[in-house]
Amino acid sequence: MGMRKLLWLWMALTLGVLVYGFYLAIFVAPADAEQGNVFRIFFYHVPSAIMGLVFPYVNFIAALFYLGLRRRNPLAADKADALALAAAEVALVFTTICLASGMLWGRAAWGIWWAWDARLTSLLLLWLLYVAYLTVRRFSSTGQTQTLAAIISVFAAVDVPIVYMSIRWWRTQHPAPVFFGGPDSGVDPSMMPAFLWNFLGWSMWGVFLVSLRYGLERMRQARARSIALHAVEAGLEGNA
Amino acid sequence: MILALALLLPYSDADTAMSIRHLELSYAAVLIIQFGYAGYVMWQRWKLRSSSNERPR
Repeated sequence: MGMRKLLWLWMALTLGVLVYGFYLAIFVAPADAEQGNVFRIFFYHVPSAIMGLVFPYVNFIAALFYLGLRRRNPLAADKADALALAAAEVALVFTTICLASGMLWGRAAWGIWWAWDARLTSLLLLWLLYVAYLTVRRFSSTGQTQTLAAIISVFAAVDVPIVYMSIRWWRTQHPAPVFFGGPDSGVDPSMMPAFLWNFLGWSMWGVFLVSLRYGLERMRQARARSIALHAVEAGLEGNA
Repeated sequence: MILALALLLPYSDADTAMSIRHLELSYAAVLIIQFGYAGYVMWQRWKLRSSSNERPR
């Protein structure tokens, strides 16, 4: 089976999981006793937050590979760079959703859109770092664009553990950790299937988006190489 | 889907008009951002593929 067919099959499977996850989140999981139905934001807010912390590391590791390979093996470095760019865009998508859904949830649950607490501020910083990363990728014309962007990846990778640990290290407006937060953490068992199916669905969707964007970047790289090759050929013909 | 949410969501005593509106808005944000981004990347792939037969100038 070709990669393209596999990609579309993966997308179809992912959409099936997401639809089932949506059904469980809306119609099967019970409403929260205190918050009511607005609590259902949890079922995609938390998976988006997790994906928003996983893809920066894909971006970081790919950026390190790029830095290590760019002189020794430029073709392999191109692949690493395409993966770094794809992971950065998808990280920005998930952190945007996490921020937007968190603000809407916060307004309904706390009565405020935003608080400058450690969790929200460190996540906003991560979001801004990826905006900066993609701005550099889009507009820099120094010839060192990928290297500059890789440096921003390092800063983002430093921020990720701070985002994760912020609600453990400091008292915040944001609630304490739901998972891995000690004996009092966790959700009601009746909510777990909806959470796990949504987590699976959004993880699969993230992998799909990265694969889709990676394919696009590889096509652009091949096209750029082709244009450069034609320019060299035209130059040689002109000199002959 | 937003209409389905408004019509079919089982009512809870803790619900307010604002909280339901915010739940709907956040689902709309997820749909627009995720599927909008995926659609944009697919469109870029299609555009690049459809022009790939042209000889670059």
